[in-house]
Amino acid sequence: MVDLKSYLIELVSKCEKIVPYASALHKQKSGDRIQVNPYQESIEPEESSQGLVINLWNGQSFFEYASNSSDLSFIEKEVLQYAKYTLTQINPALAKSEIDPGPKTQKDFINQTDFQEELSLQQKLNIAKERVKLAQGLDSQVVNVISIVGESKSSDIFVNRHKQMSQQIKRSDSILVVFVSDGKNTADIHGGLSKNGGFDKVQINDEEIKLWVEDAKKLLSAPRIKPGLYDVVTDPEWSGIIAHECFGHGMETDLYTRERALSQHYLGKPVASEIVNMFDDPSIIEEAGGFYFDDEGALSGPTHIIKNGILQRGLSDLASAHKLKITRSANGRRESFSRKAYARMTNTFFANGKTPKEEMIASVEQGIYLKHATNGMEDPQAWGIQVEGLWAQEIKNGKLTNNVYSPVIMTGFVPELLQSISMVGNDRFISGLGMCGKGHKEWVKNTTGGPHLKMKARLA
Amino acid sequence: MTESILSQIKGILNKKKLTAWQIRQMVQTSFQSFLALTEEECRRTVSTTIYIISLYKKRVDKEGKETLGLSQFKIGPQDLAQLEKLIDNALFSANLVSNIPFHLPGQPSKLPDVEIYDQTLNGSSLIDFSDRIQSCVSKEKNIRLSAAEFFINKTEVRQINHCGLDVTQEDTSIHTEFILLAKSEKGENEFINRYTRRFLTDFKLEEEIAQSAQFARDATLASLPKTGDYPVLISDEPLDHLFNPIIAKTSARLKFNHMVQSNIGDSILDGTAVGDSITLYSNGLISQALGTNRFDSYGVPTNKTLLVENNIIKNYLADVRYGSYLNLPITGEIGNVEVLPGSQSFQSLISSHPVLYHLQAFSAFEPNAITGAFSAEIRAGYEISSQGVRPIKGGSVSGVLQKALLDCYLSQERVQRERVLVPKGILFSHLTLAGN
Repeated sequence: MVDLKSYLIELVSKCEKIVPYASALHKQKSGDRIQVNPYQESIEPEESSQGLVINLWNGQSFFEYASNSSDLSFIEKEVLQYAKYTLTQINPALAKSEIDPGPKTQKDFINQTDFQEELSLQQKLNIAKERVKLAQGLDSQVVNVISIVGESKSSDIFVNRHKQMSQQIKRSDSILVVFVSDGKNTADIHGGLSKNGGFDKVQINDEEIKLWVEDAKKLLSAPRIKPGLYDVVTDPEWSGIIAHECFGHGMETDLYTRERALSQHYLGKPVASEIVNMFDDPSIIEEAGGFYFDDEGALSGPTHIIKNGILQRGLSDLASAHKLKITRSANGRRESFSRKAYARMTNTFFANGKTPKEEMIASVEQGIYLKHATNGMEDPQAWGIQVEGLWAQEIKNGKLTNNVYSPVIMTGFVPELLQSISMVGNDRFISGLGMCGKGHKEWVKNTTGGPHLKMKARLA
Repeated sequence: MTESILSQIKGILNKKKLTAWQIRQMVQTSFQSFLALTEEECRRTVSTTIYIISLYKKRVDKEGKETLGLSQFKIGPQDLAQLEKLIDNALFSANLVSNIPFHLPGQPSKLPDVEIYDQTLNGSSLIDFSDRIQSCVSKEKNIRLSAAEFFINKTEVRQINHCGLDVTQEDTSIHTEFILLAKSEKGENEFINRYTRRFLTDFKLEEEIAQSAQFARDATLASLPKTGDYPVLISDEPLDHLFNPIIAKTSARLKFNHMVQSNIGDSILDGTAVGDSITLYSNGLISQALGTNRFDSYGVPTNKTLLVENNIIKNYLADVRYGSYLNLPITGEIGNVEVLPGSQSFQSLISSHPVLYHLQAFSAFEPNAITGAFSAEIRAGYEISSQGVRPIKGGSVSGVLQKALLDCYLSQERVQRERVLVPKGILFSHLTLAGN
């Protein structure tokens, strides 16, 4: 049996006899995903894939060879041939540059306690079934409940001339989707947790399930909101989507090299009210967007994106950091070995402030409380906002009323929205249920979150 | 090589005394190029082979009822050393779950001969795309290229099962995503275009760039739409997912899972239509379309199935499993969505109201398949009135599809997009706009 890391070290060394820089990444994912509803059940491996990508720099551009072949001598032959080919693609009219391989690091990262077996598949299946039974029993309008319990293990090896690293990360998921119907209309609400670590990190309590059923029932007859500008309080999940979609994507520095991020012109300038702080931090390892090093070998750490309302810096992959001559952050991520690395967010969130949620709601004379956010879309060049959700609840004279509108969309201009933030909650919740695409593809796991926020927003 | 791996997998599956099994082998070569501004930032060559293995084992439960355990997993060549262990794990998982039994199909008597493989495509086409896009962009006034990505994929699929099914197909696809920037006195505005085609002749990069450049230029002049209830003509990209809630109403899978309540003979609408009616097919046979294949994921030959006629549900879209569960004819999985045209020209729809909004791109437009509700931020559109044409951007459009279709009009021209063959324009008499 060939030791994979030794093979990669040797392969990188052989490549660097041809090209000025080479690195290798082997990615492997495995796990189980239990999915149960009242009508069918399945247990299937989750996100299973493994393969190798060799990154070659010819002095001007990156070239990559990726494969999941088990024939390592065939891969070596192909890669070395490809390395020679990259030299034929050099444009003599353009300058060459060197890639910094980073500080010397030899380390194997793993949190052993995460990998201790706690529950058997049968026990997890039983938990998933019990959640379905509970939700179904709560109301006759519940027509289906999908209960998902998942566990995935990822194992990465990264090698360049300075780095020989491996990491193993385990992630657990608990998700519930509740469908209710009045015979004519159907509505659904989902909730749950996704965290790095064992199953104990993703417990859903019965009270939450009851709340989701009650909320879903209200959606059946909820009218749409009258379009307009409102005083709004967002729950942490909604706040998180604002952080991620409205702002975070525009801070990915591969957009800077494409000159399509408005944020590039705002570095060092105010973009939000001075009570706003925002971070991206893959080193929060217990959150589902956490890791020890990224897919290009950068060690993880926090990036303070907005500090007291002032825009600080972006999130980089290797190519854009090299091109822009900026310090790398650990944001070079791939959907899998077969896809390119881009600058991507990890755990992205607003920092918490000082105001209790109750105080925020009490401060609103006429406005809306937003929760159950479902999705958003970025617009880094124009900083347009699109956040969609299922729940807009009226606030009147400082109190929540029973009037709920659904669905709801928030639109507007990002700096206007962030400048309008007048209160930052003293709570913080990070949701790991989402996946993030670059445009409409390249899906990676991210988390988003923050505290409750009070702001002015255009709703429809 | 792949033949011997298939034999190896088959050999182990046959040893396990399963009720049924299926293997889907996919061998793909992908050539990829990424441009940042005018420079190629990265070029990639990717080769992958994967096997999706499904196994089924019947047993009798405590109540004496026959039940089916099933599991599906994906492996690559690097997993072959532990193949038997992986199959045992999957069998263990299958034995934990209980489902209603169903049968896999045998070898079909005939598979459709559909055009899905472009022999002219190869890795060197990437260089051609790079040259073409830069040449086109250079001809556009006040436009420059921000980024472009090109993917050329060639895929061979072979599917076998324990009943003797053995079917194959080869297909190609070309995907691009490009971003154009338009200059104005206030700064720059962008327009993103992304699309996938099976054949080079349908790729039409020059036409797409010309339209995108116009959208980008117009965005520099655009303002918010007015707030209120207006007639809205939808065309282009939003058509790709517009009919998803209608497809959902005909889905045997969703019906079995009680997520939709509709029955054959029901109307797809919430009320009585006053405009054009919808007649919709799942059509997996359209030449060169992305939703066209020779067979579905169970090996069932693709075909054309009438799902909705004049707003009434005529058939369910039923794959092998859910067709069996609901005792329905097996139609196979969804192919392309085909909607019959209306009687008015696209141009007459545009000029049908004193004030009308023509919306052509959103940041994301995907109506909720279950509820039919949609809301989307406008990225490219026009307010058309007696005062002229005003570009609009920002704000949102919202509605509920089954209500919006009550008063809608379909153009007599149709367009073939990735997985839809639909009227070029669909005019909704009443949708809610939120803007100024």
